[in-house]
Amino acid sequence: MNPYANKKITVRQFQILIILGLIGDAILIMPTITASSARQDAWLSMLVAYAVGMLIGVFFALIANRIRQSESLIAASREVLGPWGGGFVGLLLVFNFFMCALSLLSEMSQFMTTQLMTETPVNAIIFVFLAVVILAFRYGVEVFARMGELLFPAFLVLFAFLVVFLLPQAEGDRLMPVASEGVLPILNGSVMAISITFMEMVVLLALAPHVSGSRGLTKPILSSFAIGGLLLSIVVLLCVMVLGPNLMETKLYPTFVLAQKLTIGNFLERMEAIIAFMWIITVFYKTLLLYYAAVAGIAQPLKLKENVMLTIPMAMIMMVFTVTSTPSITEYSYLLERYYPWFDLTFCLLVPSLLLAGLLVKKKHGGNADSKP
Amino acid sequence: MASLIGVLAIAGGVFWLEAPGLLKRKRVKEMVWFVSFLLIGTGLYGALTLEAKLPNPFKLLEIMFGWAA
Repeated sequence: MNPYANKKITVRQFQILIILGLIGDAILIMPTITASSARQDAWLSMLVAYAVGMLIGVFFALIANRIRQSESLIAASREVLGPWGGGFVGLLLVFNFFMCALSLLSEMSQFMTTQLMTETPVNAIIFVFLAVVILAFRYGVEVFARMGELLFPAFLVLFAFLVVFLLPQAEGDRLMPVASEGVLPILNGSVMAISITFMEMVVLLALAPHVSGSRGLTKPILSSFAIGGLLLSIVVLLCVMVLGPNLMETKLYPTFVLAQKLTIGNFLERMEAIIAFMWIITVFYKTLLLYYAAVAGIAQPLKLKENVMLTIPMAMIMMVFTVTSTPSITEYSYLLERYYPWFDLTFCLLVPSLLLAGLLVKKKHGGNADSKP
Repeated sequence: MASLIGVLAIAGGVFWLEAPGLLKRKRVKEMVWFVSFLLIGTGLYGALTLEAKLPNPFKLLEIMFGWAA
């Protein structure tokens, strides 16, 4: 029995997974990243990132439509580029998924130990988080996709709650002056936003072969990118209008500070748990998708008939590297800001480009690489 | 030392959880890879508990893209 063939999710579940993954860690860290260079124009940086992100969505859709009839992303790359070339591309993709998952685990552990559970050892936090990821993985893609369907409305309600009750504190003056330093800081601010938010969604390619039906995936992918990008743009805009650029720049998690400002009728205050809950949902899903893609990506080239037995050993390896990758927040942030866009550009765009080139060549030479718009 | 014993106990528990099923289903290749990954994970985790200096994986980005940034 082929363990990878009968795990099917609906298009709607696929869209929800993309939206949750896209928001991922960005909802909490994006305002600081964009404001550090664009300041009050952070929302413009986010809009630039949004526009470029939609193009990246088109690029991923081109690949997703062509590989969805395959067994998996790695199998597709081996079919198209041959066992060695495809295996190499697969290895690079698995490395990318592994590193992205590490960065998410690091961010999650930093957030928990600095904001919510300051006395709890970091190992315990990572252990519990990974235990839930492992469980979700072992239940399978169908189950965690259904769980996403259940959690997504809760996420949207909390998001709407946050936006509606923060609107009275928003001040349009904080957006001024617009582009006072020119266009360059805005573009600089958008680079990390494009990288962390949109490029890392290359992981959707690992899900594409699991989507049921024969409809094209372009519309679902682009609509998910549009919704996720819109929600993030709203968060950044709210941060600028409520907190202002100075607080955004200096606070590690401005969205969390934003939620702390939430007051309802002077009796319901300090509702930052809302943002923590939303963030944990989205980070959990992004980590899960990356972990799923990494473990499945290791098992496929090794021609293993099942992959669940690798989940715990892989989690042990991830846990060790998460701890070692975060010696201090300063060092982690430095490495991330300086090198991460290059990493994402290479592994999330250039490596999939090789796959797309192979798919196009195969189609030109009469291969059966299907493409449905 | 106690934490190292804890790590070995976790590894033993994981083996006890996964190995019988794999052997029952005669998944030899899967068993070999499982044990390999488990040994790597246990080794790394053991080294972490002994406070050995382990590499920071993000330093790899510096090595790979130091020329570009």
